[in-house]
Amino acid sequence: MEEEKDICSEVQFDKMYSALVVSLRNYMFFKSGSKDRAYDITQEAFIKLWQNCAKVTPKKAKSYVYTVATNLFLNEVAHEKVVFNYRKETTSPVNNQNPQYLLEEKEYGEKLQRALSKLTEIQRTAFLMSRVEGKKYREIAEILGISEKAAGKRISDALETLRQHIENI
Amino acid sequence: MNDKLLNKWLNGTLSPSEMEEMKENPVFMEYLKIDSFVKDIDMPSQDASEGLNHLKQKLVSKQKTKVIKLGVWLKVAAAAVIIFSVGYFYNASLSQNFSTQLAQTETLQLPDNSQVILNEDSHLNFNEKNWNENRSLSLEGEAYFEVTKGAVFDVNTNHGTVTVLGTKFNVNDRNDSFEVVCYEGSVGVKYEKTYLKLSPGDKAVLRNGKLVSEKKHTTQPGWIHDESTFKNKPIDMVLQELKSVYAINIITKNIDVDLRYTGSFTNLDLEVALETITLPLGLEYAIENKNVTLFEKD
Repeated sequence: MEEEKDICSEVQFDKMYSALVVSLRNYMFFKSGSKDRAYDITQEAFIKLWQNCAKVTPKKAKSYVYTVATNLFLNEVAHEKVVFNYRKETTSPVNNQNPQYLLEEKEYGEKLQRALSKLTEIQRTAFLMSRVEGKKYREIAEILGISEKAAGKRISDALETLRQHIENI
Repeated sequence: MNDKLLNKWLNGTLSPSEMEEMKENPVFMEYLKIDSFVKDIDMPSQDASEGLNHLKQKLVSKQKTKVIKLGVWLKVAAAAVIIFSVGYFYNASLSQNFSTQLAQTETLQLPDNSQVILNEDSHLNFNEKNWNENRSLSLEGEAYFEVTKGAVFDVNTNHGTVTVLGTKFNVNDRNDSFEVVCYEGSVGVKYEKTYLKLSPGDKAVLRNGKLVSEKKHTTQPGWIHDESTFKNKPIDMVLQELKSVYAINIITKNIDVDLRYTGSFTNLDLEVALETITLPLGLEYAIENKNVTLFEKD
């Protein structure tokens, strides 16, 4: 059976990589706020997976790379200030004639940016996985190793905290 | 805020009618705005293939190192390398280095009781191991040798090699000049393809890129007795010597560069040395700290 093949087969490893890498990279990006670090940590985690391919079953591979990546993150980049930037063209064509509106939007974006930096890493990661990636509670709960209810709580708490921060800035 | 509906929205299961209901709440409208902005965060690449290619390259290089770790023959080779390097460092630890600063000479005793007097600003290096079988050393600068009889004795310099059996001789190898003087016994000097054999009182000197033999009638070089001796040498050379003996700066003003000097000056007293040089040449001098100015007499 395909599922039972171990990860030491290159085909199987490539499949595993393609299935997991984007989500893991995003997760590390939400944690670190740095694309480069997210990339490096993710690659390193998969290298570890390859080196231990005989010991890690395909079923365990996902939690393995997430755990390795999280540990690498904790060792290397935890406790740094996290700032997320926006993509360049953020405003829709309909509204881009109104300078007043554009200014307000820009200011709001900056407020949100600061508010995001103030979230705890735990809240921020769960919240961004939900809102940016559109992941369901179940999936987030699985990655974070918590219950779905706890995941929902983190996300809604993060949302409310952001709202209050924006109001107060 | 209806928590149940909020969770439905966050989990992507809110129905359109429920959405309408939620929108009546101004707090939810703020949530929607946050949500729309957050989705614009500049995200890393969502493409898996590029990362996989990078990973493959990395894994290939890591695998190579793995092979080195496991190969039995490579283990043997690695052990051999370690043994060799230990041996090398053991040998290197027997290597002796001597250096002199400006205005300093040093007398050295070699393992076979041969004597070397190292002149200022010179460097000598030899290996103590097997010295009696292999008497070979390297020299930069100037040194006077009194070699006891024994195996071939080689002095390697930048310019050439001096080979002797048992004798007294002086080697001066500085910058462009190379000069070997034999005081006792016989000395062989090799420079490129030229080989000269010197008898007592002979000297070999490098002139215009050729090694030539000349006569020199002294029994020891002057500098050993704290004197520098010159025979019809350009003033420039004399001043260079003065400069290095006393570690001073020399400034010349309106001096005829073609002046030549024969004589010796002491290495112990700068003023006396300056007197001996300037008087016969009709020059005057002024000393200011480490700067000496030479100029023509009015």
